[in-house]
Amino acid sequence: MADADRVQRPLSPSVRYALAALTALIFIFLFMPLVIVIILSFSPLTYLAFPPPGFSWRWYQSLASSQEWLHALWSSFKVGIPVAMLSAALGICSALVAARAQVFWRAGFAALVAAPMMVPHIILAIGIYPLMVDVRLTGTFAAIVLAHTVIAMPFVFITVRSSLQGYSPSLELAAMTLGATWWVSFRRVTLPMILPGVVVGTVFAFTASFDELMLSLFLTTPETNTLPRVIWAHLAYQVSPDVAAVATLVLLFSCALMAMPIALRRRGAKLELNG
Amino acid sequence: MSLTAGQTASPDTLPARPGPVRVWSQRPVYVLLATGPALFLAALFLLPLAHVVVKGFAAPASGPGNYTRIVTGGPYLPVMLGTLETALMVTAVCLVLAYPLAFVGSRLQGRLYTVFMALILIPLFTSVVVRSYAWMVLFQRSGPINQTLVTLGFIESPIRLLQTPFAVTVGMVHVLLPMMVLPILTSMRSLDGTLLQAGEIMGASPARVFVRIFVPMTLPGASAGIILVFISALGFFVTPALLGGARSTMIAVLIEQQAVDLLNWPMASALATMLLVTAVLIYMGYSRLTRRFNEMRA
Repeated sequence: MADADRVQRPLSPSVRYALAALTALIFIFLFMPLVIVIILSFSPLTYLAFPPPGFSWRWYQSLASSQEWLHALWSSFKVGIPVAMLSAALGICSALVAARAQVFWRAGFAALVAAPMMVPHIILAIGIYPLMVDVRLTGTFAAIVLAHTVIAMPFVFITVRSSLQGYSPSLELAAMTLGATWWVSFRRVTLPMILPGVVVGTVFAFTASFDELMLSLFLTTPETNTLPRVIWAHLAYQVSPDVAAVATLVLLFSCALMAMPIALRRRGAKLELNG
Repeated sequence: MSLTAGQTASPDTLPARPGPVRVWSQRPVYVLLATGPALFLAALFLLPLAHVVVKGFAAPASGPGNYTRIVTGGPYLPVMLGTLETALMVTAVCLVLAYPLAFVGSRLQGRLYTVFMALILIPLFTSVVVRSYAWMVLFQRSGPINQTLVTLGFIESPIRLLQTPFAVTVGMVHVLLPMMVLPILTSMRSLDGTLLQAGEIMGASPARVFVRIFVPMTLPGASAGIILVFISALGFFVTPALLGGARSTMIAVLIEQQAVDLLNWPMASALATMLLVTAVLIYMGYSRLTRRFNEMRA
């Protein structure tokens, strides 16, 4: 890292303490709700009381034997994995065009691919649902996979484009002047260079689908309900600790997924939200 | 770098390949690459949006009927204004919290910086439904916050926290704060430290260097964060639906009610169009401002 030679002026002690205190408070604000949910998931009571009077695994045991939750988890993967793969394919293609093509429509194309990030999901849901009715896909996995890919693809696009902009195109030109075809230079030069970005983007795409509720509310049926959709249904009529147990497991899974981008971040991959 | 068979880089095969023009311009390849995503987005992004806009005008009777109903009465306009107000409030709170937080992050190095990034990214990666559920638990009448306030003697009996605008704002700040921190952090870390040094050498106080050099130089990151958070906040559904009451509802919740509960798709489409136009106008205003700002700097 180039951090070592960055010029930094030491802060005065009072500023340092004020900033440290503020940082601590903000992190408490960010993590307190998550910690409380984890604690509640071990409550022995059927209603919410804090702090819980004891410790029990009962909610986890009831999850493990619940058809509804297991089915929802399975559905979330059946949706999330194809979404991640489709997003990766479409996102890499778009990023190559946006970063390398010398055509007049490049800027417009890049804006189009990134646009779904800025459009509220409710608008997409209102628009996609009638479309799926027209092509008779409502209630199928295909419908929800296609809809999720619209919002997941920009994540791959942005991370991969930022990887492509991180090194000079002359590497690919060198390969091609040495006789490599476009495909060979992509396979041997481009892909190894952008691989961390591809992995990070694909993980983000999977997470976007795994968390998505709005489109799922419109497009899923009891047969294809994803995890957020079932959590949502439970919250509508009760706030019992079984949701806390699900939430804790989802939280753990998200952390595990996130470890991947952080490990790769050190290897040069970046999520540039202002890119 | 190894080459595949048949493409040996011996000097006598190279000139035989087509001239440099085809090597440098790979236009057909990129046209091909762009076709897939373009068709996909045309069918599943542009077409649905067009459908929403058309439907808002087409039914129940063709014409601007839905829009006159929005303007003349009902909950529509107040909810839209309330949504703008909440989004503005959430963005302001996020900016005030994120700027110092990003500043701290920008000064960290090595392992400490990795920990900082993890602490920012863990909440970002946590499902919004899960996080809103967590705030539901916290804000309950018998929840931890009420208990603490009663124990400390600030209030005599538990107060209503859920279904208030306050709960919605807190929940949304919690979700959107990391999205504000990341772009600001990026701009702070890419800042050229020698500029600050130059300011000091010229005799400016640290406070003056901060206000006159550091803040203006990190403005692009902050404005990117502001627009990202504001537009996301406008379309928020989960948090206001779970933490807000009838009076603190937001436009996305209203649209969902119109479509799912009342099956009034034309009205839902008209409201969605209004939200879309608002978001696009705000974004256009933002890009115009940044362009002018860049021209001024150049």
